[in-house]
Amino acid sequence: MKKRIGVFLCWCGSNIAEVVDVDIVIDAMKKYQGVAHAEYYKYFCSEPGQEIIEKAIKEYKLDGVVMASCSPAMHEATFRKAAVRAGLNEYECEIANVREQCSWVHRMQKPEATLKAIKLISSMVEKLKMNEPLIAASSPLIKRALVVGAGISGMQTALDIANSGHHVMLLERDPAIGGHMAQLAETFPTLDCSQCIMTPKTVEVSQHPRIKLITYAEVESIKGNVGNFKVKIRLKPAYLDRKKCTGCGVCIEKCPMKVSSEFNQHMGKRKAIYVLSPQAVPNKPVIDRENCMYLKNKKCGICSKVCEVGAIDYDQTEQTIEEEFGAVVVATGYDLYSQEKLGEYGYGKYKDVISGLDFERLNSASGPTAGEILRPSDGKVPKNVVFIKCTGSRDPENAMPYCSKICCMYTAKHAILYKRKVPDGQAYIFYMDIRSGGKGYEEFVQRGMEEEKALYVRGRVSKVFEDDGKIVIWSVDTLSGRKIEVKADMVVLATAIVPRHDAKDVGKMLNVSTDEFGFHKEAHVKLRPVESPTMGLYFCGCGQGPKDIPDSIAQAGCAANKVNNLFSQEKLFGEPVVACVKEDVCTGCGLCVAACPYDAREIDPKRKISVVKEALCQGCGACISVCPNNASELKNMSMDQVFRMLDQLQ
Amino acid sequence: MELLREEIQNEFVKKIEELSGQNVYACYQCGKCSAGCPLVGQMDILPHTILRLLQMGQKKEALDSETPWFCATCLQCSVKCPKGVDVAGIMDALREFLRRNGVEKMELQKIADRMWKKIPQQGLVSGFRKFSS
Amino acid sequence: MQYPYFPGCTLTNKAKGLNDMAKAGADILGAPLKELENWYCCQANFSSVTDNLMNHLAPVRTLIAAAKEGQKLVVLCSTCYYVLKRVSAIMARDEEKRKVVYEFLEEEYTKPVEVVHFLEYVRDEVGFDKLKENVKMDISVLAIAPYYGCQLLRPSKELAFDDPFEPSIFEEFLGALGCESVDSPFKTECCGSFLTTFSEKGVEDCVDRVLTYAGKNGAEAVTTSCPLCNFNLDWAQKEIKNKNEKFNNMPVFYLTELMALALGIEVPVEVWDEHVVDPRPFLAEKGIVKRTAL
Repeated sequence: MKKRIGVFLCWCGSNIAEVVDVDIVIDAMKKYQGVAHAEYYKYFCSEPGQEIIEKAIKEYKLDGVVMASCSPAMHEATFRKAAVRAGLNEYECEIANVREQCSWVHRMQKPEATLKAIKLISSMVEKLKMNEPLIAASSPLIKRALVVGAGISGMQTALDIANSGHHVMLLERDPAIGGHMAQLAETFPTLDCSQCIMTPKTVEVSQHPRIKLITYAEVESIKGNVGNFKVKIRLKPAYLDRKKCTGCGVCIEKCPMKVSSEFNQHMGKRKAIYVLSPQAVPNKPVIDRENCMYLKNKKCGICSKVCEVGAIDYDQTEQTIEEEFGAVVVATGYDLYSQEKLGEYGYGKYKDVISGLDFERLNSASGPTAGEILRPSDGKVPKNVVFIKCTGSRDPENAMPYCSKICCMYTAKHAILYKRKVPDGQAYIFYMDIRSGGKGYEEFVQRGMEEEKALYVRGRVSKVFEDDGKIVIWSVDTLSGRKIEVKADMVVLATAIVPRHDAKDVGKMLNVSTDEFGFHKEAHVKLRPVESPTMGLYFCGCGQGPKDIPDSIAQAGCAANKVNNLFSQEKLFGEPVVACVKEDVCTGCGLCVAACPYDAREIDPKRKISVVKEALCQGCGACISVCPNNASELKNMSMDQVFRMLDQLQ
Repeated sequence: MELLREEIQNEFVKKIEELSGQNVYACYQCGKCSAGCPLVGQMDILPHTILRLLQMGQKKEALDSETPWFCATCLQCSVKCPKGVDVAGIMDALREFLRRNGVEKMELQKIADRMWKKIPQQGLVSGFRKFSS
Repeated sequence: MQYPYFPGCTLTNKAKGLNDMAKAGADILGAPLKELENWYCCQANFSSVTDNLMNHLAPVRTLIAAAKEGQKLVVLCSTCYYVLKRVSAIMARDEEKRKVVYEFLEEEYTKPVEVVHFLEYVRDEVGFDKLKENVKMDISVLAIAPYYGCQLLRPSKELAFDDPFEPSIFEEFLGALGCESVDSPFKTECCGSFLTTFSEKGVEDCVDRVLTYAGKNGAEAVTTSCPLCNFNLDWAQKEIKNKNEKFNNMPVFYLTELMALALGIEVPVEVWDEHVVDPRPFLAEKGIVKRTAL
């Protein structure tokens, strides 16, 4: 039981002192039983403020400190470190939150606020009296990271971790890496070719001595926690021995089965045995089970006959491997909003209404038209192309409420690319606002207007229909107040970015929480933007929210840095505020074992009572609330302490 | 036009909001209502501009416009509005406000001369409801 | 199963092609329509104004009357469908308004009635397969563009009748009758509705677009399920033609008239007489109706 507690009341500038009468509080606390010293200061979080605390601990031989200040989320760490410097254990310093819980919310009730502040502080003094010094348990740390998703974000984060000396496994669901960036033609605002700037990264990833690249595979389950995750990975059968395969491509050439190409946005064909693109890494094909005639009904088998190294293996089956990692970075990327749901734009009904990603493939030298702008219906060069922004974005009523962030820029790029390839063509861009925050972005948009004469029309489009082989657009120009009709040859929709269709399920499986749309939810939206609330799980790229390539790269670096920070420790020190068991009360009923989300409880088979694996316990309290006879307790939060605290709050 | 606090916050706009059950400030002026309106050819002011006038408290201009009378309540605007504003409902509220103040738009003789025998009852009844005070 | 049906103000005297033909067809299909005993005018349009419940009283009375006869009420006219369904939605979701109406009517709206359109009735209670089995006359030579208009489809979330942009129930109905429908981009756009009493020009604009685009896509006639749509599409053609020689007049059928033809029902002369653009020459030319029968 502590007898010499110090109380330090922070003014927080005027945040606390303007509402709470600090003199009355200090007088009251000085008289409080067990308090040996009380004082106030304008900013205890400042350096001189912290020195005052340290000095007082030594001078008055304090055995515990209550900081009456802002929320513990803000400065608990600061004050505990000061206490440690003066020789206390960090758990001998507690925070009474008199800012968020008192002065901020009672601006108009000053006398009552002062009284409440005294109660809050007294309650914390009572808790602190029974606090024990705690020391965190340590656990081993596996310094190997898993990166899920090998688009530009995943590749970058894998490279950044690997280049810091740690081993990484990079997992990709598709047969090849590169994600959506591999589909793009040119990139804004510099118009350099997407493939050209990405190839060095795909090559480096595939050849890096510390990166193990696994494509055509998915995470099946994840167990454990920070420092020690056990991950089951499902390897999809490629029906081909990738070690034997030389990537010569003869099998692809000879395969008689043509199917619609996902990579080319269904505007071209691929074979049943295929690589995603000519630049695919790894450049080894896979057989698509759904369409292979041999796998379906044992007919054909041509690929096996023409393969000189005997790499084709129709008997391959799905395999599961289990690997261990200390940290996981999720970079699962995005899908486009299902445009069929946006009935008024005619996507899916009219062939010449396409998405922005479709337009990228039309522009790409490796795309279905070898880079020529030809419209899908009849292969003619479109002379009037309408671009519609915000299709599905900024539409809280019918689609997604948020701004998809990249569409303003890629639409400007599309108009510029189009005008370069079809100089006598006209680009019409229907927009609501032009959002071009970013280095060189605004200049790029202006170039599209001034030099390429893209006509920006301010208004949403309401109706799209076909007439005499043209796509007719009904819109409005809110600037001139005119109703607008355009008879276009082709329409490009800048469709909303949404998380991968299965993002919510994948998030649940990986224990990464997601928001209402399925984007990853940050531990703190501003201060911890790449961290999941669950320790050891990080994310980057469009899975967290719509963003362009520079932002994805930056965020990937940030996530890698968090992993490196984690891996810079020799051992992992867990949370010291863990559950403990009153052994004489526990009956070994096992309810706590079932309730624990971290596998931290088990029944000791000899003594038939529950025990706590301290390294795994996160101090969540689930076991305490289910325990029928109060045998489970959280350290420094015993029943006794809680009741003493409540007494002061009455 | 001079914008005045007293005009922007006037009671008229509140009345229209109350009658229609809509928030006129939810409109972000994308123009989709005007873009798809099949009767825009007859209107003197585009539908989204009516919303804008209401946002700026321009009572006289909004009430002087012929636009609300040409709304056929086809609801293309209302179902497509990205902000969920029932634009047709606002047009209805403007009409109702005018009707309650005695404005009469129905020219019975003209209808009688033209189509008396053929017009379905429902056309006539809804005509009275929408255009007669 | 027999459900009460609601004729509304127009059907029995100015839309016999809709009313009488629906009843005759339903009889053949073994799902006869029995007129609701105690019905009131639906008020002819739905008032979205929030402060006056008077506008909803008559539809509520009809709904209460229908509840006494069953769980569903069949409606033929799109406007009636729209008004009754919207009012029943308000009564279902707004307890306060329900109370006020109750206090006024001294009759409580407790049992919700499902308002179903004739198309839904045939699809769900009879089945399009059965409709197909009963077809006696081949009308596949007719190139018909279905016209949905507004009041079956919007507000889509509330009516939940069909996809508001790509509806298909009309097409399925015509398909069952053995007739392929012609798609047209203005099939879900407005006919001008009640503006017919206010702005001829407005209605003509709307009708011109609907019919011109249907014609461009190969339609020779259109079909509707609403007396007001039917009237506007039919009536406005004269003036459109006066202003534009190139405009092609086309007959406007109620969906039930086409059903009657396909089921081999003798369509009485007074039904054809309701039309402005006489469909008889067109039907004769197609061999559907014998010239001598006219």
